[in-house]
Amino acid sequence: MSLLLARIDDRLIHGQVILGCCAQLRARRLLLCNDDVAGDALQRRIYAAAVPPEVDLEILDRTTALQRLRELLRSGGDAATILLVQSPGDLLWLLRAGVDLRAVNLGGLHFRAGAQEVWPGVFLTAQERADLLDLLRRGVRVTLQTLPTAAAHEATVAELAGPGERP
Amino acid sequence: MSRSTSSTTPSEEGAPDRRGAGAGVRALVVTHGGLGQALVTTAEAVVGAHGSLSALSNQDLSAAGLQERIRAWLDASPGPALILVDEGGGSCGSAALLASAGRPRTWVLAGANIPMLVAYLSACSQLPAEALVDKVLDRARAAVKLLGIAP
Repeated sequence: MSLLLARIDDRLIHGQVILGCCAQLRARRLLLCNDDVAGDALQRRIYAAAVPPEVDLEILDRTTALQRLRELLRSGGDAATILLVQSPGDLLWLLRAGVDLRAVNLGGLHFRAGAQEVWPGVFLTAQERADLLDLLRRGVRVTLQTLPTAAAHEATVAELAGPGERP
Repeated sequence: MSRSTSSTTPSEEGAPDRRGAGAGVRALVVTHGGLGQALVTTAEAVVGAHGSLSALSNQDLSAAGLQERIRAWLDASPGPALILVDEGGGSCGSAALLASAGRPRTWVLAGANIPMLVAYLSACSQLPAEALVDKVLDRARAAVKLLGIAP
C-alpha cells in the first residue's frame, strides 16, 4: 500500500494536517480512522467543517476503515490518501489486520496524564510506547515530523525500549 | 482562571438590571502558543483589565486535554461565556466547540484579534450577551481592512 501519508496525531484534524499535510502533499482524500469520532455526530460535524472542499473526508471506525483501505488499494486511490489516526494502537490494529504499512508519520502526541515526554514535545503512555515499539519491530519506519517541510527524526527501538529489553 | 465578576456597582443601584443578560459575561481566548495571552495583555493595556478575560494556550495539550481545560473554565462559573479562538478549523476551534456543546449561552468566535478583545472589554458590563457577541463580531470584521498602499 502506498498511502500518501499515515499520520498519528492526537489533535486529529487541525491546522498542521489541513494546511500542512493535505495542502503540501496535494492529498485528495483524508481518511480519519477513529472509533470514537466515527460514532459521534457532533465530532464528525466539527471536524468535517475544518476540511476544505477539495479534500474528500471519510471518518470511519477501524473495521470500516480497514475495508475502505482495501478498496482504495484495489482502485489505486491510496496514492492520494492521507490516513489519520489518534494513536499508534490504531495503526497497529490496521497492520495486524493486514494493511501493509511501511512508514508512519508521528505528527503529534501531546501531554496527557500518565504520559511521559520521550522526545521534545512528544509524550507517550506506556501503551503507546509499546505499540510504537511493536510497529518498529515489524519493520515500520516511524518518523517524527510535524509538517512535511519540518525537520524529521526517525524513531529507533533503542529510544523506546526500556533497560533490559531486547533492541 | 479568572472568575466572572458582577458588573453591578453601588452607583448602578436603581439602574436597569442587566445581570443574567450581559453583565458578567466571561471570555476565554484559546490560541496556539502564547498568542492568546499576548492578545489579552495588549487589550487590557489599551482599555484596562476587567478580570473576566482569560487566555488559554494549546501548547503541549492534546485535543482531549485542551477540551478538559476549557470545560474546567466553563464549569468555574455559571452564566454566559464567550470563547474566542484564533482559527476556526484548528485544534483550538474544534476543542472549544466540543467542550461547549450543549452549554446554553456559550458562544465560540473564530479569528480572535485585539479589536475584538477591546470591544469585549469596553462593553462586557453594559450589553446583554447577545448584543455583546454582535458587537465583538462587528468590530472584528471592521478591523480587517486595507489601510493604505505604499507609493
